[in-house]
Amino acid sequence: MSWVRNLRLLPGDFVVAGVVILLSGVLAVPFLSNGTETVYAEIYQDEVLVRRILLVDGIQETVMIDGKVTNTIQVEGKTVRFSASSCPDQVCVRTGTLTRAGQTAVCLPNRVIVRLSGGETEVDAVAGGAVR
Amino acid sequence: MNGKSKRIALCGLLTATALVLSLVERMFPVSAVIPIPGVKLGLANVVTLFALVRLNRRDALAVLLVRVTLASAFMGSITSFLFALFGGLLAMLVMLLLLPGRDRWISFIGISAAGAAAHNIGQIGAAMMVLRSVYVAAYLPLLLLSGLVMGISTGIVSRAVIEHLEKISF
Repeated sequence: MSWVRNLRLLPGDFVVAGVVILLSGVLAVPFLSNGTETVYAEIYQDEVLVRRILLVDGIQETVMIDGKVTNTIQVEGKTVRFSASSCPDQVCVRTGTLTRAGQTAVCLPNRVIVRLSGGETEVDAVAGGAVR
Repeated sequence: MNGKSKRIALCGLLTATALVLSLVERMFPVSAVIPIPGVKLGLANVVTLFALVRLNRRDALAVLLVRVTLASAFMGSITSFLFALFGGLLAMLVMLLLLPGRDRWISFIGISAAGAAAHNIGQIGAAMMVLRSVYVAAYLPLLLLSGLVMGISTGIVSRAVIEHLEKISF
């Protein structure tokens, strides 16, 4: 192919390309395996961490939090939501399902905060603000 | 025109060219195609490479520093200034080290690609320091691969530009 010959590549060019590809492969490994995918559901009451659940695919768990009212928090796979609450306003239930790290749902009457925390929050911070 | 004023004029010319290139490359929304923050063509790298070939090290460094400072002042922020500064300095260092092998065992394409990769590493290094988080490095593999493509492209451009200008002994 003449256009390739026209580039007049030298051995060093291939070395550079090889090193860069190899480097990107090696650097990708730690993030592929244990990854940024580890997400925890953290449940706080009165600003105290009461439960911390590692979210993995297929997990199903129901947590009841009693206080002035009773919240039912449903963990399902990598998501968490307030499935029921005995309070009148139902704000926490209407918040819906949390799917991404950094999202929070709050029940004010019970002073309960549910939040998804994990590696991805930090990366999102970069994407959202600093680089551009 | 004596040597000194020609040198100063050339420095100013190159800085202005690099700034225009930084502006022009904003018109190509590369990051819309490859959705990683920090992905860009890196056209200003052509100027850095040219400055290293044509000027002495001190002047090339001055052109780089003024370009990065002004580009951030015009269209960036303090954080983007730090990213660009670290990236630019590391890219310049790597290309400086590779330039003696020019046309013997490496072409401008390889030098430029190595510079682009160094720029990405410097950029992410600065981001890791600013944000105090290692997770930023998750971007590096994809940045490096896109940087390789961009570096090869700007390398082809650099070679065309530099060889022509050397022919007319600019």
